[in-house]
Amino acid sequence: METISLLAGGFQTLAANPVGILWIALGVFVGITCGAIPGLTATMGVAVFIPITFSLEPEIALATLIGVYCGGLSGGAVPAILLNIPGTPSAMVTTLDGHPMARQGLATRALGWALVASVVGSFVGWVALVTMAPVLARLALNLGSAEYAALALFGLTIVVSLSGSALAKGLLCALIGIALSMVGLDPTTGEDRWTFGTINLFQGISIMPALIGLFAIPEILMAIAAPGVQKRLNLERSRMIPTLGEMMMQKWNLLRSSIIGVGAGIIPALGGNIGSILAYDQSRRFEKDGAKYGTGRPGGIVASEAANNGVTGGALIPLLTVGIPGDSVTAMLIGGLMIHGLQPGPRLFEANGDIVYAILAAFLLATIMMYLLSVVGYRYVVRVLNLPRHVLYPALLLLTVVGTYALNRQIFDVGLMLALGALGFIATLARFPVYPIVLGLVLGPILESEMRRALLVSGGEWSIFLTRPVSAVLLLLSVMAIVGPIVVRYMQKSRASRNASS
Amino acid sequence: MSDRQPSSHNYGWVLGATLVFLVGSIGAALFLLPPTLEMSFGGMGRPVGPGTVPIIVLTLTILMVLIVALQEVLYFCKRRGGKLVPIETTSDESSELEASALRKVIYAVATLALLVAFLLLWRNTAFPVAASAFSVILSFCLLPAGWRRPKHSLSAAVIAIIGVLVIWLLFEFILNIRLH
Repeated sequence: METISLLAGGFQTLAANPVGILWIALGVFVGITCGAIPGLTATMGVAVFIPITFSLEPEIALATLIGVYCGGLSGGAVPAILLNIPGTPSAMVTTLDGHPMARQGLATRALGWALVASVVGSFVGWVALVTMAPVLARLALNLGSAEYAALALFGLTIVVSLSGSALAKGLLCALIGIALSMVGLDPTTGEDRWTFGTINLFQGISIMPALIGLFAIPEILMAIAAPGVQKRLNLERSRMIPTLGEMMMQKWNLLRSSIIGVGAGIIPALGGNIGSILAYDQSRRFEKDGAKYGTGRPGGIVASEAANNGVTGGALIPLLTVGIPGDSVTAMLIGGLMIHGLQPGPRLFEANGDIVYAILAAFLLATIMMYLLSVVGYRYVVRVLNLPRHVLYPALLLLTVVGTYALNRQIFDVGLMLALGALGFIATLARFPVYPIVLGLVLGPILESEMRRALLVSGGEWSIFLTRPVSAVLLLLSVMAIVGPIVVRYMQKSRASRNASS
Repeated sequence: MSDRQPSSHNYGWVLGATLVFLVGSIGAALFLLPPTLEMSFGGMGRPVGPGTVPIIVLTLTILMVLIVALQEVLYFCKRRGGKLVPIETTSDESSELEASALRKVIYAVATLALLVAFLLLWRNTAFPVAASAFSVILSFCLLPAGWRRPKHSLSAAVIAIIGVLVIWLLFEFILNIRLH
């Protein structure tokens, strides 16, 4: 009941701010547009949009960014269906059935299915967020420093463990991120750490220049190098949204895939890609026409899009409850929260409950707007795909530079952003995962400060991390996250060699 | 995350980038080691000092660089030894949106150089001037080959300058963020 009344308060806050609602609509539109342009992602959209939201009230700023996030994931389906090129990585699975449908002359219908699935996925994610986040935040308040340190370590190791065969590369990147987070004056003693007397570094490396540099700059540089798509696109004029009867035939697919997406969002680094692959696979098994998936079946589009939008709500759960970002966009949102003086974590619900519930209310509003704007605007968004690269990329680069400068009005930050952009580009080219660097940068300070606090409480006894049950379990899970993939790969190799010899 | 194998054509560039990344990482770790050793590592009533975690991180970084380098050497030897079937193109790389590694490097270096020049110009002139120069040059560079004619170039320059003015007006007058 308490949650409902707080949520109602959140809706009231929004209703009292019509300009804020327009900002959310703008965020959703920018997100859809960014998602629809191949090479640009929701992360990029949020990176460019954060500086523009500096002057807004915190709840409206964050709601606008969440609008960009939802819109970005939904917009990724547009080029996936029309061009067979996923606009965002998570729309990769949408191409399997979306593009065949477009080739059959059913592009508008395919977009309609993608939209309905995106909206249902976002809605299920929102329900999960609203019901789970406050409870988890309350539970998380009981955690001590040892548990927090273990949780930060677990967040890092789970991301590293998802680096595929590049486990060592993932670990190295996480360590680089932690090292970057240590630059500046020591928060406890004020001792100089790796600043070499540079005043701009005394406060440490600001999170926003780092995030924009590591995520947005490599993305734009890669997109600039990509050969342009010169196809002129238009949508055929036909009914877009499926009928209620058609939707009811997909109800279990919609629900199952959305829940899978939420689950994938909650686990750090799984994200939309893996969520949509898992949902598609399950849908193929359970749906009657599963065997025909890949030939242009609406069920395939529904599974992929419901899952990758379900991720949004799921990924916000660890962000708001324990301060661990579930994916790269939520890592950007951490920056957005911090700029507005909000510290992500369990105390967020206690200290800034009104703002948090307004953000939750705005998430639902953004989902509704995503539907309305897409129904009206997909036809125009498609035209964005025809926008020449020589118009788009200079403007985007300028926005990243100006946005970074606007943070502290320092050219130093822009230089830092470009240096980290070069690092991100080299890492991407060398196939090192960039996300662990960012997570190391975000979680490094939590890991260090909570570890030091726990050791201070225990009088220097490192056993405190093993004697407290939650901390011990998290440390065990962390070890499993690192050792597990190595053991599994070793077992697979030995089984393969046994099979080959027999 | 990214664990697909590079094509034979791109492998040299991937290897080069890996080398740069690893040498940069170990170089930075070794460079930071002496100042880290001068930090305090705890003492009476303070079990962990400001230098404790940095020294652990640096040690682990050096260790991980060595492990990754070893992995890369083994992979390189496997490829050279012919045990690994060379992959000409992966499905991702054959995509019409995927550029070759050489093209990516050239475009990235040129764009970053242009951005640095823009920053220097911005410090010495006004934002609209520096940004217009940057935007017009980048627009020209990104014009499709068939479009590099006076009419198209002029329209690209005009659009680029309009874009700069929109961004400048947005930040200076709507968001009240001075771009000096």
